[in-house]
Amino acid sequence: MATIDIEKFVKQYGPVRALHEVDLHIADGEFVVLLGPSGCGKSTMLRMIAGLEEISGGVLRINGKPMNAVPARDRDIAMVFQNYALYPHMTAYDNIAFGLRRLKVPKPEIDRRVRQTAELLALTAYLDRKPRQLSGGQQQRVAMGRAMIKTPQVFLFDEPLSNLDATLRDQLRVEVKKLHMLLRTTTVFVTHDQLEAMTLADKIVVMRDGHVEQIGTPREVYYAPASLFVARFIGTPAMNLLPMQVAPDGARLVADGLSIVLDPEQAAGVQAGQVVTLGIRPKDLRLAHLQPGAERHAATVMLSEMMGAETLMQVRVGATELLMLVDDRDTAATGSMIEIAFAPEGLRLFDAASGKAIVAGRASRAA
Amino acid sequence: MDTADLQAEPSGKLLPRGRFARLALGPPLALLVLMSLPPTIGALLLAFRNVSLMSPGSRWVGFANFARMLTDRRLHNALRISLLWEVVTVAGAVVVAVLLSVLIFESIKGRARDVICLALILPILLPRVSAGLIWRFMYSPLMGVVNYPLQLVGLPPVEYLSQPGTALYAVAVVDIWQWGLFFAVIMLKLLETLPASPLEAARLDHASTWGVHWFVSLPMLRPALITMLFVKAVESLRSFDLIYTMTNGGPGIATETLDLYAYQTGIGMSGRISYAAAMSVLLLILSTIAFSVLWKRSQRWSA
Amino acid sequence: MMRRLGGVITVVVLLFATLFPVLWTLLSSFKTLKDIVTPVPTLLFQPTWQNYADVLATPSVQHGLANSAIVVGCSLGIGMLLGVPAAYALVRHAPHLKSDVLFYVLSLRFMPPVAIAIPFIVIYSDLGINDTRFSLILTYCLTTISTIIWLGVPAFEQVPREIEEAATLEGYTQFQVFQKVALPVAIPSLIGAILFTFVIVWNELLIALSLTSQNFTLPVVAASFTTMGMEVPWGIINASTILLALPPFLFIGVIMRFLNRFFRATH
Repeated sequence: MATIDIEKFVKQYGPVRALHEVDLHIADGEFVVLLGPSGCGKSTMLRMIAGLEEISGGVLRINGKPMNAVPARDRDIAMVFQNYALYPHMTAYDNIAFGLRRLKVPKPEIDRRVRQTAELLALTAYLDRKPRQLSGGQQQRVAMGRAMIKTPQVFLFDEPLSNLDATLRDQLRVEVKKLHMLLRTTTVFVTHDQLEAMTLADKIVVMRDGHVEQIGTPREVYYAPASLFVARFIGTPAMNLLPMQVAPDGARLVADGLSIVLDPEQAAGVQAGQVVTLGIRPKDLRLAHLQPGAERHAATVMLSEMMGAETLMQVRVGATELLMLVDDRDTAATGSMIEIAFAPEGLRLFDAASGKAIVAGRASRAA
Repeated sequence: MDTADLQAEPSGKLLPRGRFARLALGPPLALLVLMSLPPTIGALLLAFRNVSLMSPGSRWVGFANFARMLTDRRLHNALRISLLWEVVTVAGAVVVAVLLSVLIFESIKGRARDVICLALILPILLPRVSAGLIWRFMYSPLMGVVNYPLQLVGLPPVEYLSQPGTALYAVAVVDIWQWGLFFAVIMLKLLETLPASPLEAARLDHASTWGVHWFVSLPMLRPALITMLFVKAVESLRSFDLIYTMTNGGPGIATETLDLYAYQTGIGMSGRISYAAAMSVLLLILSTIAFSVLWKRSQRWSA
Repeated sequence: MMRRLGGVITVVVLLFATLFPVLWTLLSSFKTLKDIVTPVPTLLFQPTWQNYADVLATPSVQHGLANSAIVVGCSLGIGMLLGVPAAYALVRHAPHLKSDVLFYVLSLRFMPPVAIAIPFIVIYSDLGINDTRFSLILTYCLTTISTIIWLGVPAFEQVPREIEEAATLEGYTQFQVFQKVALPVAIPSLIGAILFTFVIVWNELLIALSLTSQNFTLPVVAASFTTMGMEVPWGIINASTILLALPPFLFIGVIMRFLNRFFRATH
């Protein structure tokens, strides 16, 4: 069991700085996801925790002890790699047992633990196969077995599901979650897939270009994104982002053909004439008759895509195009005119220049 | 025990970490340096003296040996022969390699191609001595297979190795037989690694088979060809084994290359090892120039 | 179609021309002297093992063979022992040195043997170890170590970095990672590299010729047959030629696979 403290992590490759003074504190047993696009520094940070990359600046502490000078093999950390990294010349059994052999654990004990682990991961039938005889999903499960058998104090996962097809990805995602619920080991998980992050994490660290954009629970990151980048990155379908300006009276937002009223708390956070970006999730755009009392806007339906129980509609209000997600029953035909409303609790304001969220009042659902 | 060997300096640059790296690299590199320094320095020192294997004692003679090289007609002959040898064997090997590899690439596929490759690398595996003896046997005027077709049409047998006009070329055939075929296999492997699309596009443009290769695939392999040229050039400087076995420099000095002459001078009859050392210094300089150009070229062209 | 057939025929002809010299010598090694010394080459004859028997019975051949085996074996062994870990260390632990060391090592391969042999004759004489197997082994180590390092580096570069990282995280030391993970995975390519090196030193003539007179190796013996005056025992020469060429030939399959792997990896 372990707490991890990352204080002002810096990674320098010659003149290039890959991580800029990142701070992160991970509690014992927490499942933390480092989320971001390629090149944002998430894998680098993971490898620095593991000891596979030098820490250019800052301190790593595990359970309070500084670990910068401790070599990787002494850190009691297990890692699952993106391309499995199984030993090709050994069977699945030997791959899993390899770490235990070094500790001179007696043979029958090794056998017991390997078989126990294999059963947990449904690998018992494949133990005497070599990696090249296993499918991607099986290989990744062997890699997970190899990691968990020594009960390390920290698990690290480096985009372990990226090389798998969609179905396998879903299956193994569940395995990872079950594993965490069973073992409660402190885990750091790297991915570029926001769905994985949302379903697995206790805490998400959204990263971009070596900086941390936001640290928060999945709810916080979804309902109260701290910046435009986070707002765009999290949530499918993506949040609608509209460039707008605060009206001279300071109580409305205006754009080409669109005018939206702000509630007093939101209005308090902006100034007249300020250029902002308005964010609203497709689910927070409602058909007007379902949102009584709200301001109505006339819209034309441009496109309608059925997604099962819900329908994604592309509508045009004035000169702006918006995506809205409605119940299947409420679908309107392409070309028809409808009236929509902006659910006030779904409005998010961002300063257009800095991209940072304008925090005003309470975002009622981010409890 | 193992924590001690990790260097935690924030130097950014990774030093050879750990005892393992030092132990693994130290002894072999030390041995290599130890063994390679004597030849280079030793050759120079010898060249500046007048050591002889025949008589004891020697003294410093400065550049006398090098001066002698300027007027030594036999040396000039050796240089000429070496140059001729270089040109003939390098050109011959590369031409054979290109022609043969394209031929095989177009005509033979699959399993048959693998079998042919096996056959083609057989000659290069032969010790130079064996190759030399095999061909000496075949060139023999009395019972050699090469003269047999000539006999059938009534011509007298040719003494390939005993006639000054043909000797060098007869030996060159053997060298090309070994190296040309080996290079053909390498060229073939390289042709196989080329992407198929440019070649297919050229074929669709009605290019003839040879046109496709001359205008498309060979230019794409130009860096490799140039590398091969230089590798062969450096390799041809070490032709001693073959020529010694086949003609020993003869007839007369018609096939005496520089390294053969150096050997004869130093270890053969005369024992004038200092003069031989001077010649080997010359050879060393020539090799170094060729090698340096080769290295720079291959660095520039490699991925 | 016809063009393809023409090409095939040409290749078959060329193949024949390529292999013919070796096959002819092989054939002739089974002929008695009178079958050889005829102006008309004979294909049908009474084969005999006598040539091989004579060759193997010749003391100089036995001596040369023994020396070749010992000298090549030892220098190859030392080459492997020192060269393989060095190649690994260059790839994993000192990558910034790699380019420079490869340059140096390759330059050694290209030093003309004459330039090596001549100074060493004098040095070894002065040290009193001239004409010994030890001095020859030492000299050959120059070739074996440098060749094995040069061919070993690509072999270890093909080992995926992550599996070594995984082993490191499992607590293994650098040497253990080398021994248990990197080495087993690189072995197929390393074997090819070692065999390639074997062929180079087994075939070596000039240095052996220069540095030995009593403790000669097999190529020296074979070369000495040529200076035997007019009564040249061609049957015996052919037999000894085949004998000398046998060890490299035995490994041709492995060497071919090594070449294939080398090209697949570096392109």
